Amino acid sequence: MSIPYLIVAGGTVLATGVTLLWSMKGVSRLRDKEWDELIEMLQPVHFRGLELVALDHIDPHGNQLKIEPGDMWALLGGPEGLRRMKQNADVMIALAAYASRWNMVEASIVAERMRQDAIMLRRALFRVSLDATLHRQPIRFPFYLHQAASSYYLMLRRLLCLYEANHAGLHPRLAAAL
Amino acid sequence: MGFNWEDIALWIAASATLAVLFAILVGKARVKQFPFFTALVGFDAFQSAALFLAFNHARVYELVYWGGQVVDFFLQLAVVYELASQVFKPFGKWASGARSFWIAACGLSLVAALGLTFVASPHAPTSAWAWVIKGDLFAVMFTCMASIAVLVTARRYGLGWRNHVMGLAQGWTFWAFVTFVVETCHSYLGYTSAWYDRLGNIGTLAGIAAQIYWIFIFWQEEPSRAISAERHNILIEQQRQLDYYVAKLVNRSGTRRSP
Repeated sequence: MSIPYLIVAGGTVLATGVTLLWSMKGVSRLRDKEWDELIEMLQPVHFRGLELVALDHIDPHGNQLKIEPGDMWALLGGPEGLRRMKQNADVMIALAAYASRWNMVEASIVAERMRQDAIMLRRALFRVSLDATLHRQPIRFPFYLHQAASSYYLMLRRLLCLYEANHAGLHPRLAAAL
Repeated sequence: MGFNWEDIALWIAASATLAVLFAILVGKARVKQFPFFTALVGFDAFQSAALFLAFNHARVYELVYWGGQVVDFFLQLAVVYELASQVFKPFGKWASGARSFWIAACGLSLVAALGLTFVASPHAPTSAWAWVIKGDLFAVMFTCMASIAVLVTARRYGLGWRNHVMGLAQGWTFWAFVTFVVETCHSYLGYTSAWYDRLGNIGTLAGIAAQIYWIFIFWQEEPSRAISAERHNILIEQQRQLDYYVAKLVNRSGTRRSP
């Protein structure tokens, strides 16, 4: 009985088990949650700061360099703000999917668009956190912040418009939670 | 061939649960959504009955058993593909990025399965038995990792799961992981170990547990996307309140529009 094989095989089994638990937890976390529970999971993000950074990227006016990278970082709430954006992204998709109970077609399409925005958001946040971990201040840092802010802003606007059009009764609570 | 009462009890239990599961999948029309899974359950039930009938004919038994193993492996891969296509095609088309990520993860799983199979050197009475153990390890490890890759991809790309698909994936990954652990132990301890059959029984028990879970899952209908009556009343009330406040704002003096 070879000890090196035991180590390699045991390590593979352990890594596979951990990956299974991690992925299962991720895909089942938001399933079967009611609307109120989803709303309670949302963590507030400073909307005005987010809007300033996002619109500077997707709706430019005049001087496009007026917001410095340090200001962007502060307007988005620093590492805590980015963590909240990442956390909220999955909850917002679940809220869009929930709306499919009233409008199957529109909500499904909006949820798919939001899912694609969320991919962009996660990529940008991953690069920001990687650079922060490696203590790098690369030239692309503001681009990632712009990308993250605009993706999150688009997700937020899509979700609010979906609820405004399909269930205005829930719209105020959703807007307040976001 | 000698079987003890434990083997016979597990054989009967596994055959019975497979037959009930197959009847439910066909009777409740789940076969339309999960054709490969239904085919795998039906094939396993058929193979189990055929093995029972061929019990006293060693040559026929071996032929049915080993032939069945090959068909079983390809049907298992088809079920993993079925899971992936149910999750990654929310609009009948593969979700952007998900397919390439899943294929890359499957490629990595294939390399890992081949690598572990290559370094395994189980003790066995003949080289043929050693290759059987290695083959089982490869098949189970690749199936298990490709199934987990579906979950990882779904998590990464934020893809949603409906109840039946989720139930199938939960039972499938549970069974696949337990069997992977069993085959890894087989590959380390070898065929000559007294634990060989007992470990095999653990894998069979995991299969029976998964089949009972699937019977429960596929017996139930998926929840309707329609909203419940209670929730509907709450929403109507909230809508009514909002209309009231909007009407109040519009009718305030100074904000009323002149006709």
